[in-house]
Amino acid sequence: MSPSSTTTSSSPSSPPQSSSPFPVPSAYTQPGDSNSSGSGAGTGSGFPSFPPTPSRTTSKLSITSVDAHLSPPQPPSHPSSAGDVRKRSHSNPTVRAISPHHLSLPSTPTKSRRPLNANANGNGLLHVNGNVNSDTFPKTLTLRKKSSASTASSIHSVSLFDGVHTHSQSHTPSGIDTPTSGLSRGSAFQEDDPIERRSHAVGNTSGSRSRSGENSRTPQSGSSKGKERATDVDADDNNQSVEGGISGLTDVDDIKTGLKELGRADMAGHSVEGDIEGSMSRLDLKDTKDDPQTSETVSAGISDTTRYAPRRYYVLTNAGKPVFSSHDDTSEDNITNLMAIASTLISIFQEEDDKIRCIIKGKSRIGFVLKPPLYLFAVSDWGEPEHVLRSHLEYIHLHILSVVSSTQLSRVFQRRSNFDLSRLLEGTETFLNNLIDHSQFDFSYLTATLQPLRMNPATRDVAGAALMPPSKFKDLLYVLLIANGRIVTLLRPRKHAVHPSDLHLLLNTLASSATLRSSETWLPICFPKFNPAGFVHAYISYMTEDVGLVFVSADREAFEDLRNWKSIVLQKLEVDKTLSKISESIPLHPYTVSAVGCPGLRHFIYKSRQYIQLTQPEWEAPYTEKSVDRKRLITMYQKLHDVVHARSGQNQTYKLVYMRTEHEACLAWLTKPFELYLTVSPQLSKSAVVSTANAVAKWVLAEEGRVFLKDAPVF
Amino acid sequence: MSRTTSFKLVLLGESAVGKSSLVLRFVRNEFSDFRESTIAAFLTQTVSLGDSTNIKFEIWDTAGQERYKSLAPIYFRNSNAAVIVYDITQASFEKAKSWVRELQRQADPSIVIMLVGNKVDLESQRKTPREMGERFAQEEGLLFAEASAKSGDGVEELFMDIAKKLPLAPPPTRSSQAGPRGVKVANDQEENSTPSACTC
Repeated sequence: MSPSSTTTSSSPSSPPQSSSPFPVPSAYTQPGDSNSSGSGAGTGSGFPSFPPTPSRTTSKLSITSVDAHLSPPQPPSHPSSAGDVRKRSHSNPTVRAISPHHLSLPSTPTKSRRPLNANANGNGLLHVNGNVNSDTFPKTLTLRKKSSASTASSIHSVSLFDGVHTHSQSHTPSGIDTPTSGLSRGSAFQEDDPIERRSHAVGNTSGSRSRSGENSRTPQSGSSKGKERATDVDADDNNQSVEGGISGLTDVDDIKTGLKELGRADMAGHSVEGDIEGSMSRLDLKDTKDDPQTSETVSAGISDTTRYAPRRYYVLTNAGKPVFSSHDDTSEDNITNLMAIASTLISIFQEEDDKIRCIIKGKSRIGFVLKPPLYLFAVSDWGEPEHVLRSHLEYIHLHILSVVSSTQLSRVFQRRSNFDLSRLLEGTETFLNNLIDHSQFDFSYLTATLQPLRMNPATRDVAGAALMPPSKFKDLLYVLLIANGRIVTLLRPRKHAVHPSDLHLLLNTLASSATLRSSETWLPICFPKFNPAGFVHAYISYMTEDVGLVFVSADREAFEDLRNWKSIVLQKLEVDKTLSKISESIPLHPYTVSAVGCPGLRHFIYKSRQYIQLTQPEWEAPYTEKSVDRKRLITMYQKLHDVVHARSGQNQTYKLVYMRTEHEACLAWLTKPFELYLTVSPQLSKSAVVSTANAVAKWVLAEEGRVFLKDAPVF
Repeated sequence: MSRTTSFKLVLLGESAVGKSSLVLRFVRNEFSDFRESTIAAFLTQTVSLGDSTNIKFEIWDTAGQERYKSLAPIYFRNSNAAVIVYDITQASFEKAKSWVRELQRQADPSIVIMLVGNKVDLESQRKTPREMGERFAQEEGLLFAEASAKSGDGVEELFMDIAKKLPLAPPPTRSSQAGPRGVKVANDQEENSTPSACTC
C-alpha cells in the first residue's frame, strides 16, 4: 500500500491557521510538511503529513455484524442493518450483515473475499478475542475500510454513535456522500434553509440517523448566503438528552446575528429534555434524511460508569512484532496475540490495497493508523470522534520518529524486515506513556497549538531580547525559553517556522525526563515536521529547577559554542531580575474561569487561529482530574471540534454548534480569528450562552498579551 | 594558585550498566536505584592532583541504547579519556570490547581508556570474572578497575587513576578531524536557508 492517500482524518492545523506569523508562519515549508494526502515524500518511511486533513478521496466499505447477545438494540439494528446492506449492495453485493460470532469481510467490487474471512478471520479472530481480551477486541465488529482506488467524489460516512451496530457505507452512485456524523440524537434542529438542509441530509446513508426528538426549523434571516446552513448536533453520551441548536453562518459578521437567533430559538422552547435516566437509555433515532417517519429505537445501554476506561495504544511492526503497548498490565502473551490479530486484520485489507481504519463494536472503537513499517492502533470506549484516536496515534508515531528518525527506521527494516524495533526504542516507553497521558486531556495536541506561559508581556519581551542569538551561529534553528514545561518565548530564523507538533514532542521529551532537566544535555532529536529524515541537536540547560533554555541547532558540533553562549544569556536574564520574574510567573499561570466573570460558565477553550495558541482556565469541579466528568467533557469538546471542522466527512463545516446534555451544555464557535469551545450549566438559556460566548471572546481579547505569545522575535 | 587543566572524558557502554550512576556518584556523590535512560548529559567535576594541579573533567555521559550508537563519535572524537563500562552481573562485556575496538579505530590515538566493571556490590550475581576484564585490559593496554556506583567503592579511585595518566600539558584537541560517521543532521536546504546574519 502506498503511504500516501490513506488517512481520512482530521486535524487541527488547517491551512488558514498555518499562515499565522507565529509559530507557524506562512513561510513554513519544511520537508515533513507536505500536505494532507501527500506522503512524506523522500522520507523513506512513508511519513505522512500530520496532522492529516480530511481526505476527500476515500471510499469506505463497511462490514456489519450484529451480535445478538451483545447488543441491546434489536429493534433498531434490524432496520438499520437492512438499510445498510441495501445501501451498500450497489457497489458491494456480497456484503451482508451476519449474525453473532461471525465476522464478515466485505468483498470489493473486484474480488470476492468471502472465502478468506470465513476461515482465517472470523473464527480465528473471535476465538482469540473470547479468550484473550474480550475487552479490547469486541466480538461484534464493524469494520470500515477505505478503498484506495476510490474516486475523489465520495466521502465517507462516519457514525458518531456508538451502541449502534450498523454502519453505512457511503458510496453512492452519484458519488456524493455525506457523512452520518453530525446527526443529532438531540432534538432540536433549526435551520433557515430547508433545501440546504436537505442537501446535507440527502447524503446520509442508512446508517446515519439522528435521534428523533423534534426536528424544528426556525427561519433565520440574517445569513442566507447559501454557504452553510444547518448544523447538526451530535452527542452520544448515553443517558443524556441532547439538544441541538443549529445556526449556519457565513461570516464573522453573521455570527452575532446567528447567536441571537440561537438565543431566540431557545426562547421558543425547542428543547427536549432527557428521555431516560439510568444505565439503559432508550434513544429514539430518526433518519432525518428522506423519511422522517421512520424512527428507530436503540437502547444503548452504556452508562458513564462503564465508559471511559483508559484508552489502550499499541504499536507493532508490519511484520507483526510488538513495539509498544501503553499498558503493561497485559501479559506478554496477550500482547503477542493481540498484535497477531491486528496484523492479520490489517493484512487482509492490505491484500486489496486497502487500509483498515476503524473497527466499531458496541461502545468500543478501535482506530488504526498505518505508517509502514509501523502499524498503530488504539482501543477506546470514550465515544470520541474517529479523528481523535487517529491524532493520538499520529502523535505516537511522530514521537517514535523523533527518537529514531525515518532514515534510521527504514534502514533497520530494510536490513531485516522482522527487526525488533522495541530494542531500538528501549527507554522511550516513558516518553510515549507521558505523551499519551497528556494527549488525553490537552486540547493543544488535537488542535496542534501551544499554550504558552501566561505572564506579563513586558517580561516576555525582555526575555526575548536577551535570547537574540549572535549572528555567528549559522545553523541555529530555534531558541526557546521554557518555564514549567511551557513556552515563555521562542525565537526562530526568519525563514523557518516551528511546527507546534514538533514543539509538543520536544516539550514532552523534556517533561518526561528528569535527567534532561538536571544536567546540561545535548539531545539528538528528530523534528518530524521539520525534517523526518534527520536529527537536530538540542542544547538543554535548566537555569533553575523550572526554567530552562533550549537551543536547537542543525550543527551537531555546536555544543561548546552554545554552551558558552548560554552563560551570556544567563547573565542577561539575571539583569533586571528577568529570570526571577519568570519564575514568579509560573504559579500565576493558572487562572480560574471566574476571571471572566460569567455566572454559569464552567470552562472554555479558546484557540487563537492567528497565533496558533490556546488558552483555557483550570479544570474545576466537577471536572477534576481523573473524573468521569472531565472525560465526558473533553469528549464533548472533541465532538464539537469534529463537527465544526467536518472531520468525519461532512461536506461542510459549521460555524456554530450547540450541544446539551443533562450534565452540561457546550458551544463551539468558529470564527476567522478564533475557535471557542465553552461549557456552561445546562440550565443556562441559549441567550445566556450567547452572551457568555461573547463575554469570553471579549475577555480573551483583552488578555491576549498575557495569555499568548504575540511577538516572537526572529533572527 | 593552582593550575587547572580541562580534559574531556566520555562514558561508553551498553545501556543499564551504570554509566550515569558512576558519574553521579563521582560528581554529586548521589545514587539512585531507579534511573531513567540518559541521552547525553554533560557534567563537570574538578579533582586535585597534589598542591599545584587541578584537573577539570568535562564528562559526557552518553546513551547506551543502540539507537544512539551512530551518534557516539560526536562525544568521543575530541575526548582525552574514555571510560568503558560493563556490568559484571550481565553479559555486557562483549559490548565493552566492541567499544574498545571502536575507539581504537576512531578516537584520538592518545586517548586514555579505562575499562570498568561496575556493580561489584552484587558480587554474588557476578557473571564476568575479574580476571577476564583484567586480562583483556592488559592485552589492549587499557586501565582497568572494578567499582560500585551504589556503594561508591572504587569510583573516585578510577577517575583519579585516569587523572594521573593524563598529560598535564593542555591537551591538543583534534578538532580538524571530520566525522564521517553518524547521522547527517542537516540537509543542504536547511543550511542554506538559515540566515547568516540578521539582528535587526
